[in-house]
Amino acid sequence: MIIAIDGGKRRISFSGTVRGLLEHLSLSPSSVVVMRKGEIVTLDESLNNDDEVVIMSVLSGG
Amino acid sequence: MRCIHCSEKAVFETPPLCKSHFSEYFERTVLRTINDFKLIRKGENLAVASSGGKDSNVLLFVLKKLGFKVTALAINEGIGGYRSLLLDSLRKFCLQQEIPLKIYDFREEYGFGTDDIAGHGGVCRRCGTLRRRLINIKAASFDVIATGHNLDDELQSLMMNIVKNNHEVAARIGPSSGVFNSQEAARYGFTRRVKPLFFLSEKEVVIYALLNRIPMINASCPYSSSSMRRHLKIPISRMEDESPGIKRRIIRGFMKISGPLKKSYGSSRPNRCVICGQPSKSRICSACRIASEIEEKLANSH
Repeated sequence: MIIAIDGGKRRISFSGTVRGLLEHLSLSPSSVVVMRKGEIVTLDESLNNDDEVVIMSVLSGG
Repeated sequence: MRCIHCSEKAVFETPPLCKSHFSEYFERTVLRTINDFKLIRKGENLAVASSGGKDSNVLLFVLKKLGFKVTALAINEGIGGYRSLLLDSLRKFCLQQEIPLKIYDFREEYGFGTDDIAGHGGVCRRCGTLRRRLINIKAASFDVIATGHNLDDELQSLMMNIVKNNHEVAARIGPSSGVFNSQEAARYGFTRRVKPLFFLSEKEVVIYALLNRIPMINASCPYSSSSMRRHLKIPISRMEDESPGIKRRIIRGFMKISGPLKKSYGSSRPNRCVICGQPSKSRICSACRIASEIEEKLANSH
């Protein structure tokens, strides 16, 4: 799976739910929005190892 | 997960809502906040304090969509590589949305920018005080100033001010800023400040921006890394993960007890600053004090 996060991309091996992916990455679900193919995905949705996902932080830095 | 209203695919979990029902929920929440707290009256002239960031862009978009007459009012504090980026995006957004935009510059108004005062301590406090004063002056011809503060901003402010034992500042927290009612605020020279996004979380603001193609520039203020606010964001998110809805419950709980606090601090009437004429508790307002301290420091360093 390819993950785009914080302006960078990285490849990890993962299959499971969006919630599981965030747990795996130690990210708080309340602080991010996850997208696949430009669409927002909810925490219960399944992700495959060949998916490309964007994880966007919602916490502003201002 | 499916939308509770139409069984379309959900984009939001608590409660499960699809794209169109989420936008509807968001706009309804803004309108309900405005009506329940009497934030804006029909026909009033609104200045939206705009940074070019997601919150104020969303606020401009949603208020215009709800039929309010809005003008974007922006301050260029002179934070190189940060504010200029956001203001460029704001110019394009306002042009596209046909929203009037006015930009005022620290260097023109005060003779220095925020970058010039870095290294003199308390950058966020000084920059914020000077920005609020400038907005108050420039928005004097408007009926109301609307700011894009969301639920997370307000909860962080509440926790920061409790930790700092700053109860008077905590008392100002609410959909309508300050401790004075609208008639008192006008009498003392304040333009009323309102926060229509008060009950919406930062995540909800981002989802609304994504669904409505509202620009979000990924830029952080270079001076915010040291602020207490930044350190509170992650623990608050973790609390929300553990107990969904807790942010809203804390803020609503505080609203129930903030009335007496507001009354107790509202009893001290502000004077006028002898330098700038803006409302102030002391003879010289904090913005004028900060500005003269900075001028002195900058003069000594040359």
